[in-house]
Amino acid sequence: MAELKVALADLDSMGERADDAQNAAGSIRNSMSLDEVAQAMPGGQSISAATAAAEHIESNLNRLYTGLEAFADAVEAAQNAYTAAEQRAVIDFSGVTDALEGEG
Amino acid sequence: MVTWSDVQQWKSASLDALVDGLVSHRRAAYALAEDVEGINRGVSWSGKGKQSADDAITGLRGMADRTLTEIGEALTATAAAQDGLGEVETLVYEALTRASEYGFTIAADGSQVSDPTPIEIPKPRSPMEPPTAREIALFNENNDRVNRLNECAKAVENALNKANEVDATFAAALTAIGNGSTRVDPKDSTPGLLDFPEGQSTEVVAAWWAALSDAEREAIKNDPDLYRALGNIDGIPMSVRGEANMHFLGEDKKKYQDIVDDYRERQRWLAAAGIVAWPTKDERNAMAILDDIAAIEKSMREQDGDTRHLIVWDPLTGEKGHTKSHAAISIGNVDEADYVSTFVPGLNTTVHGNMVGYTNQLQDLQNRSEQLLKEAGTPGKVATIMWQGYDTPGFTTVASTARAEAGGALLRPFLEGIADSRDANSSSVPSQALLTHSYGSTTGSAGMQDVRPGVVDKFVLFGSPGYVTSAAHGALFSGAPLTEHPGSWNFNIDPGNTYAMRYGTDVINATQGVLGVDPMDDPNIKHLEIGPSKYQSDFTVTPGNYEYAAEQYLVQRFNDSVDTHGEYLESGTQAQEYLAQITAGMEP
Repeated sequence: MAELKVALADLDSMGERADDAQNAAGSIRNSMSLDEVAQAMPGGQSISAATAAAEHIESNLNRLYTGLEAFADAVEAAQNAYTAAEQRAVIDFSGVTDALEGEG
Repeated sequence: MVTWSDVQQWKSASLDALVDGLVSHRRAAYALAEDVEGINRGVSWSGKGKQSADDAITGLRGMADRTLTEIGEALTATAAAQDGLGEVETLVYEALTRASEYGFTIAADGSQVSDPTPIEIPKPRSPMEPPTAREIALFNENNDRVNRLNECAKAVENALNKANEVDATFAAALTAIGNGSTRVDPKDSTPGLLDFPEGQSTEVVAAWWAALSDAEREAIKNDPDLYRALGNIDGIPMSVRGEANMHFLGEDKKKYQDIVDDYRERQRWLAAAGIVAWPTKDERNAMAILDDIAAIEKSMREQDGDTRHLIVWDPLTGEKGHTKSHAAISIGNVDEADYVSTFVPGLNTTVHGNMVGYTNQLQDLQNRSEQLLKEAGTPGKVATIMWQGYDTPGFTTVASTARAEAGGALLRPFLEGIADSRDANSSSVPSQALLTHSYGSTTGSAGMQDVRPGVVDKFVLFGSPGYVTSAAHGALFSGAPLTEHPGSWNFNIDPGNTYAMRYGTDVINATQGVLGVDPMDDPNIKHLEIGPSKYQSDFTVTPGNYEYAAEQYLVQRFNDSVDTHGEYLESGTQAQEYLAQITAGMEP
């Protein structure tokens, strides 16, 4: 079994970095366009190829965006789970303290 | 297949915004890939959760790398297409200028070029009867028209072929991106971009540099071979070139000084034995290069707080086309100036002999141009460039246009590189003037027939022995009268923006007709009136020895005419005033 070690503050930073990267991917995706090809070379076969290339890059950026979003969510979920486990552990261990203090 | 109607609308400038956008996207995608890589950096975490997160990051990094590579590929393909579009535009321009000059018509699909007003050649009379002068003139004019018609048809054909080639190459690159077949190499040092753009067009070079991340640029600077090459690649920002060239100027100084020191040491030893030590070819070259370096160092000392950049540094090798060191120095910052003037010198110019003098004169010109702009209420920054990027001729080679043509081929990308570098890095393209003197005007004319239209705004030939263009060659040899179609229409510049000036007593007047067409005979070039030269020394004759006096008079007049040839850039002259106005984008 792998050793479990978690610094929750670090997870917080990781989540923020994932959020930032997601925003950056979104920003590129939203301004990704190769439309100028149509104005630059009317009648050329490059126009439709440019549209397809732009759609492909946009789609990849979208996958990256969604992936980063899922990652950030997963980090948050992990953080919550670790925090919940921590809280459960605190509650579990509070019985020991209660027993020692004669309240059990 | 594209048609003639289509290609007439093709404009490389229409891709400017796209290239700028892709440059910015590529830099953003590089940062994004770095950010994704660093998401879990410094996180204190272990266990299955960490392993799972690491796997997810690897997947995200793969997608970020793919995006970075695809954007880089799109940029490289677009910049190459932009260069191709520029070539198409030039070919279209050449076809249209021929058609306009001679009144030809071109069919919408480009399949036919016709002459609606052909010359009517009189039917031959008796074979025994010689043709009249008018018949000969008509025959020659007809020859000229037929040649130009064929050239025009060829230019249309070439434009269409080039357009289809550019379109097919660009479409193939975009299709590869579109169907996801772009190869992603995690070890690639510049994903999606060329490793190094040597031999590429100035558009590709400019876009490449602009799109590189700071880390990628630093890696190139840390490679001595690439960094040296960077200094002389057209399309790289001049401040970057200047930094690289100054670095290697220092290294070269040490390297060539060591060679000369070794020779001096050998000389001392052999002299003690009574033997003369002649320098080898390499040692002679080293001495010459050190003289060039000394002149550059002196020229680079900034005056009046002006920025100077060594934008070309290529020491002589002794090989053909490189028998002299090539160098260029800018006065003012070309990367930021609103107006950039490139000066091309001529006969016998060398770095060690002329760089200091010319850079001083070009500083005066820059100052005067900025002053004129200020006086006109439109202040602006001006940069001037002393460009000796080619082997200027000596007396034995000046009668041939070979060095002008070789120099013109180097000048063209230099000028285009200024425009493209500015366009890719700051989106502000300066107004450019080309100032050419003496044989440098022959070199300039060779560059102007191929330069991309729109790059050079004003072109001046002063103290010129003549200009060459393929059209001028044709005009010279067709027998058609030069004044009708002299050939300057073949320069790739808007009509009315080519100027010429020459002193009546300039020694260069003696060479007219040797190097192509005299610009002062060309009605399509604006002739600037500059009055008499100041180099007309008084001559007094002592009564008695008239033969000696006549000889002295001729010597003095010859010396005056030589001084006159160098007068155009001198401060306070009308010629310099015109050059300052032209540099400032004004109509002289």
